[in-house]
Amino acid sequence: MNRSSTRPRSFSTDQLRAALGDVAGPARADYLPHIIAQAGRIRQRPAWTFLGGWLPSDPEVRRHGVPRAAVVFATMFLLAALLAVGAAFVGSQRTAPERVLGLPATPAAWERVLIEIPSVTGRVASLAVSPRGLLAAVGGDEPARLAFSTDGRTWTLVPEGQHPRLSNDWSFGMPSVVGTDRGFLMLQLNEVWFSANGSDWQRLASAETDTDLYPSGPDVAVVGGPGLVAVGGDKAWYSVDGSDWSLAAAPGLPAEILERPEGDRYVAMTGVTAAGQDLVAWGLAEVPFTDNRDEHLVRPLLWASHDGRTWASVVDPTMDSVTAVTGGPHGFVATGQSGGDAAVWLSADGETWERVGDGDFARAARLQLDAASASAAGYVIAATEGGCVWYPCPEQSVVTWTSVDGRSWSPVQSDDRFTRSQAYGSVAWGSTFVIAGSFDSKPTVWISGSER
Amino acid sequence: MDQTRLIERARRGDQEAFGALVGGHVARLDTAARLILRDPELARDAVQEGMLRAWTNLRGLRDPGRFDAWLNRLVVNACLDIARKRRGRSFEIRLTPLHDAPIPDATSRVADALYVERMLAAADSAQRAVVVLHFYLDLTLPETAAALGIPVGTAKSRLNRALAAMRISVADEGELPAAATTEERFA
Repeated sequence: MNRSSTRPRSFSTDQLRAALGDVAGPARADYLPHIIAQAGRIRQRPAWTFLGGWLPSDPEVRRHGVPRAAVVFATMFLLAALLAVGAAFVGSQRTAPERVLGLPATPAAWERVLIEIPSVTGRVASLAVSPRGLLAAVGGDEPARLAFSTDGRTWTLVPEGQHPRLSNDWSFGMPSVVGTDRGFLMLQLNEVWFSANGSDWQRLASAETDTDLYPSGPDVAVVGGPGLVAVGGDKAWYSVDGSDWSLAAAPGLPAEILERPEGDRYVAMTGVTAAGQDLVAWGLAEVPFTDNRDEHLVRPLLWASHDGRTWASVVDPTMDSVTAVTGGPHGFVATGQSGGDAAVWLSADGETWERVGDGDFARAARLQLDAASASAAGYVIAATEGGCVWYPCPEQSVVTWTSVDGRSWSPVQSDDRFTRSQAYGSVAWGSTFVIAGSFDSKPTVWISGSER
Repeated sequence: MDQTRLIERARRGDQEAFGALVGGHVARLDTAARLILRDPELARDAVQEGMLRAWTNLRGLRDPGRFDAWLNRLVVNACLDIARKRRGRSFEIRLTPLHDAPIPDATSRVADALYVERMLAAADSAQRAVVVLHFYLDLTLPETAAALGIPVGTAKSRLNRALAAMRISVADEGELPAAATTEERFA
């Protein structure tokens, strides 16, 4: 269909409503009994927001006739006692991984850890490391939750009342968390929040008080430049301490994206990383094809900076997409797609890139390199292999590679702990690597250092 | 029985009450889902998925007065989820012979339907969703924004973009409200 030849046509709202009804055809409601039958096989989730709202509906409580107030009081007392014991236990623990290890080169080096949340299903969308431990943004369909861990294996949900209401994959996307030497930052909805311990949060900046965060704010950030550097949409910001943000000078969009109407463009700088003074930011620009709006033209965006205040566009013709970048002992490693295959590039400064590991990432199944991280020992890449139509996607699995120098890559043989899984990010925590993702649609991390 | 009582019963696991609660919405949401997904079987999947999400999470619904808007949101999000998961695959759109038929009478209701059907294909699923919520389900723009979980300003611009993509102008559409504040986004 040639849309440009179709003249706009005027409708009244009633006309348009009637036309939409005619297009849809006769109403159907005959499958309501099937929905009710299915509901009977599904357990309802408790309303975790208020104890009194769900305790009385517990059949055991009703059967024995325990007074509501007594049950609530006893439960709250028990929770308080558990919190006190937990706090004492956490305080007695070391917060850094104890053993210094090399790269996780075997599947036995990884341990899969599920993070339990009230909505059960979801993913670990963002991970951050501080001297206190690990913080994860966890969720999916429901408002996200924050989970904290001192060892990467035992996770505690931060009570919802201690942080702002969080977005989710359905609405504005999952929040992102950033680790600093003083604690954690959290970014969502044009706001920047800080917590020293992952539990108690205070707002550092928002679009209401900082005009540089309006109309859109940063989605992700990293420690670097003058203090902190962030990106989101087609913009970049910098800040000394997270309380006052300034827009950086960012490159323009590719011509083939700019030539399309603004309403058609989707631009997302999805990540930023640092290595020494050098910074790299990456993302994508996307517009629907003119002849098929359900398919899109996608162009990678890659920027480099030495101070976080001024960015330069990097154009590498071999890159079809950039999905993750990390800074490590031998420079930056970028993952993405090239010529329909998963591909990896290496750069000393973030400006000049060389494709490496040619052939190491060729797989029969679809392969999406999702995450890269680096420690002093080298680099780890995590990918999701296999196609997916309906979650929990039993055909998908997480696969990993390691490299000492960022140039030569060795696949880690996968096993059961990586099946039915997707990877979304990874961080290095001392000599330990942690991959964020989901297993069977449940929020999951894989942590290295299990091998003795 | 009023809706609040039905919600209370359904929250206690009463499937009959849940059936009474959602029964009146199935036909309307099925039609909306068919317009968004342009596939009757996928639409049925989306309505079932949205309603089962409602059943599963009913105890977490804080304001029973917002049940209708919440149900709209769950079903539309299920539609968009299905569309998103199918992106990148060949999209199995069921085209009817009417697509290529000449428009016999530009003033007739049949001609309107033919035109709208053809132009729905020019919009993506997210754009179709905002058009369907606003013009078919008759939600206000703030209600549409709430159903989609997006700011009112975004809903407004998405609606304008959708109508432009569909080559449709709405003669009596009133002045659209301004963008929501941060606090209003989750209201």
